[in-house]
Formats: sequence, C-alpha cells, structure tokens
Amino acid sequence: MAKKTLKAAVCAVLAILLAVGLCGCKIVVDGVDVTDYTSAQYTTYDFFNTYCTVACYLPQDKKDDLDKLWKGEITSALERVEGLLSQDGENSDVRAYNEAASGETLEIDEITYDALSLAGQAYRDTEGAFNPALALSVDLWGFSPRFNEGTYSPEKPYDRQDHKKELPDNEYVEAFRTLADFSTVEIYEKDAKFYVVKSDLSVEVGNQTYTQQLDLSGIGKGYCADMIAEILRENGFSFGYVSIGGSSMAMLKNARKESGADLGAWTVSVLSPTQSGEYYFKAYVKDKSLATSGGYQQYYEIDGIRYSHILDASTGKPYDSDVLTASVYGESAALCDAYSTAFCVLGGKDALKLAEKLDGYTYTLAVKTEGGFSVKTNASGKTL
Amino acid sequence: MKKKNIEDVKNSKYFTLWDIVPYACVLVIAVALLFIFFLPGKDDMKGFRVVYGDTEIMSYDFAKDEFYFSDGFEDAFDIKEDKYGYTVNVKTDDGINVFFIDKKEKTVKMTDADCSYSQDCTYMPKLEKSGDSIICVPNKIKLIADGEENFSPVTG
Repeated sequence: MAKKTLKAAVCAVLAILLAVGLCGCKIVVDGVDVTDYTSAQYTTYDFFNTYCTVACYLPQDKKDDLDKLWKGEITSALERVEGLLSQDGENSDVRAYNEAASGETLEIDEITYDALSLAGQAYRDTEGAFNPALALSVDLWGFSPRFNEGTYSPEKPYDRQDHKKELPDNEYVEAFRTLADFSTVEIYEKDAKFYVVKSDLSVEVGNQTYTQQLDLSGIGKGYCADMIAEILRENGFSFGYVSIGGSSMAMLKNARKESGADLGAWTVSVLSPTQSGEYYFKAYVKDKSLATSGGYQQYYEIDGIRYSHILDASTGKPYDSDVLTASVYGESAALCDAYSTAFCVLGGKDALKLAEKLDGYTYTLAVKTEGGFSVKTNASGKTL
Repeated sequence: MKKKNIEDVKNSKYFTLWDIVPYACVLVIAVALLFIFFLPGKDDMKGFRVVYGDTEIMSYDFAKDEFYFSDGFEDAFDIKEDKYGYTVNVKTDDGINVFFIDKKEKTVKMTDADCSYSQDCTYMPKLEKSGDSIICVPNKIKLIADGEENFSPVTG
C-alpha cells in the first residue's frame, strides 16, 4: 500500500515539475513568447533641455537592429521634432512664428501642424487651462530655455538682475496675459502643404510692441514620445517604453512579470510632490501613454511664496491651485501632457469636473491638504 | 476480493500516514514552485555600482562596508562619513554629482548635480532594491543597484 502510494506521489511530483518546466517558466505576453528576451536595453538622448530614454526588451538576435534604429530613425525623429518645435532652433517653425509679424502666414512642417492641431484640441477641451500661447509670460517669469543654460544675463526690457529674487513688473504680467489667446491662431492645409496664420494680437509696453509667442515644448515632448513608440512598434519592437524627462511617457508592453501587475503591464511609480525620492502612487500601464505635471520640481521662492514653471493664462502668473501634481494616462502622450498641465492650473475641484469629460483618459491627482496631500484617482489597481 | 481483504479494509483507518504524506509533499512543492516562478519579488540591495559613460568607476558593498575604485578614478571621489552614512561627491569631465549612502537603511539617493538641466536625477527614487537605477544624463553618471538592471519607470 505504502509503496504504491509513494510511487504515485513521485509520479505526481515529476509531472508537476515537467509541467512547470514546459510552460510555467515561460512568459507569453499577448501571444509572444518573451522568455528568452534580453535584459532591458536602453539609450538616452538630450532633448528639450531634459533627457529622453528609450528602453526595450527584445530577442537576442535583434540587438543590432535596435542599435541601428536608435542611431538612425529615432535620433532623426528627435532632432526633427526639437528642431521644429523648440523656440530657438535655426529652422524652428515656432521660432519663425514668434518672430513673424501679426497676421503673417507661414508655411510649416506637417509635424508642427500636427502639434498645433493637438494643442488646439487640448486648448478647447480644457477651456484654455492648457495654453501654448504663454511663451512670453513663461520668459517673463524666468522659465524659458535661456534661464536653464547657466549663462543668463539681463538683455530684455523686462529682465531682472536675478529673476529668482525679484518679481516681474505687473505691467508686463498684464500685457503678456492679453496675448495668451490661442484661439486666435489659425492653421490650415492646402495642396498638401501646411500653414499657420499668426495671431493678430499685439500689445505695447515701454515703447515696445510685443506679439503673441508660442511655447510647444510641453506638448512637443508628449508628441515625440508617441512618435518614437510608433517607430518602435513599426519596426517590431513591442516591449519597452519611451520616457522624456519622466514627464511624458509612451509605454509599450513589459516583458517581465512584475509583482502586483498584470502580465505585460509596467508598474509606473509616480513621484511624491512633497518627499524627494519617494513615490506616492503606482500605476499599471500597458500600451498606453502618460504624462505628469506639477510645480514641485521647477520653481523658486520669493518671500515664502512658491512660483512654479506652470503658468495660469487667466492671471499671467505661475499657477496657484491645490493640485501639487497631476498624472494623466491615455492614448496620446501629447494630450496627457496638456491635460495634466490643465489639471494643475484648474485646481482639484475643477480638474475632477474636466476629468469626467475626457473620455478614455484616467488621472491621479495629489491635492494639497493641511497635513500634506490627498490622492484623487480613477486609476487604482487596474491595468490602464 | 477475498473476504479477508475486505475485513482488512473495514478495520483499517480512513487515512494512513502514507496516504497523507505524498499529498503534503506535492502541496509543499507546488507552493515552493509558485513562489520561485511566479512571485519573483525584488531582493534588497546588497551593494551598488557607479557607472560613468560605459565604465564602472566605483562599487560599494553594504555588508563589508567597503568601497572599490576602478584604476584611474580614485581621485574622482570625495567621501565624507557621518553617523548616518556617506556623502559621496564624484567629479568627472562632465560634471559633479553628489549622492548619499544610508548605511542603516541600505539605500542610495542622488542629492545634487551641477547640470544646467532641471536636475531630474535628484528627484528619482532612491536605490533600495536589486536592479534599481538612477541616471544623470547630462553628467553621464549612473547609480545601479546590484543584480540585473531593471527599468521600473518613474514619472514626475
């Protein structure tokens, strides 16, 4: 009796071991066996005054292909987008717009046209809370690229000796606010060419006339993250992610099983706005984009008041709402970027109202409380 | 079946030890396999390395409390100890980074960088588990916890 039972038990154990050996160790994500995929391969690029990371898991024999893609198509895409959408690029469409006369029509690249279309959609969706026509205000408050290079010296009529110790003149704050009406920007397509008509808004301060200027860096990062993710997919790389400065991300699938996450999903840690190096939320994301905005990284303080890089078009000043940071998850990183900025500007109550209207987009907000912050989200526990 | 055997069965216990032991073994092995193959939680960090570009220039072992420097990079580091751990200043041709090694908590946190960017690396979560990493792109410095470098994405 004992011998027979022992034999049966040994057989059962062997069968289990065999079963596990055959299939249990395998990781199959959406029909793709990724068991033997490489460790994470990644590269980084300088982009829009931050860094872009492109990470991939891939079959061992595809490493050279990925390397070619990194050095070729992806590098070209990054250079092209930054070249067109930055404010100071030699061939930048944004620079051309900013330097153009009011009402002037300019031919633009299809990428610029796409980015402006998305910016327009976000501007309308958020009723102006996301506003890419705030470039002059951003510069006035000391958050444009020229302040990041460590070589800043006052050169414009509204510049201060030390922009982190002295507030700008209210006359300029008010004047530049009146220029921030993105609905006055017209774009159109004709005979497969793309055009923008510069806003006819202008304002005079201190005997100098200022016209509307655009800043597409925020939406440009998201736009580029989506573009690179698409390049990866088109070339057969479906596992990995693209992160631009950690604020705009396009997630593909994950080839590693992560504790607590569904197979194929990434666990994205959302940084705490109050404790450096800590995170306050974990989002599970697969084949989706996301973006985070907040005022806790780029800011300065004068007389105990914090002035952050996110501007509120209704005041022409750095935003001052109860939303410390906002993350948005959805199909388009560009729109996530715009919506997360809008959530910060609007504040918790109005942000939640807006969130209800944004079909297909989920959110995580850290809303200021007396003791710290509370988390508002509709993204808990599920794979986005 | 012979009458004697029937009587034996009637008189025997419902379960004998040898009936239960094999099933218990199978259960234990199954649970063990479940943990081994399906719940691979990250391990605590035992040490970490500093990589400059593609070159490892330093490593640290928490258990031995020892630093190891690659040839030619000994002078790149300035290390100050206090009762909580080490503040390490690393200076390369691309810039200066400062990180703190918390000996008690066994964590490492980038605390400063001299780049003209927004110093994203100083906001990244500290190293605490095997495979964690912190990257300072402008200065080409990476802090990587031991084990296979994983890429748990961070947004902020």
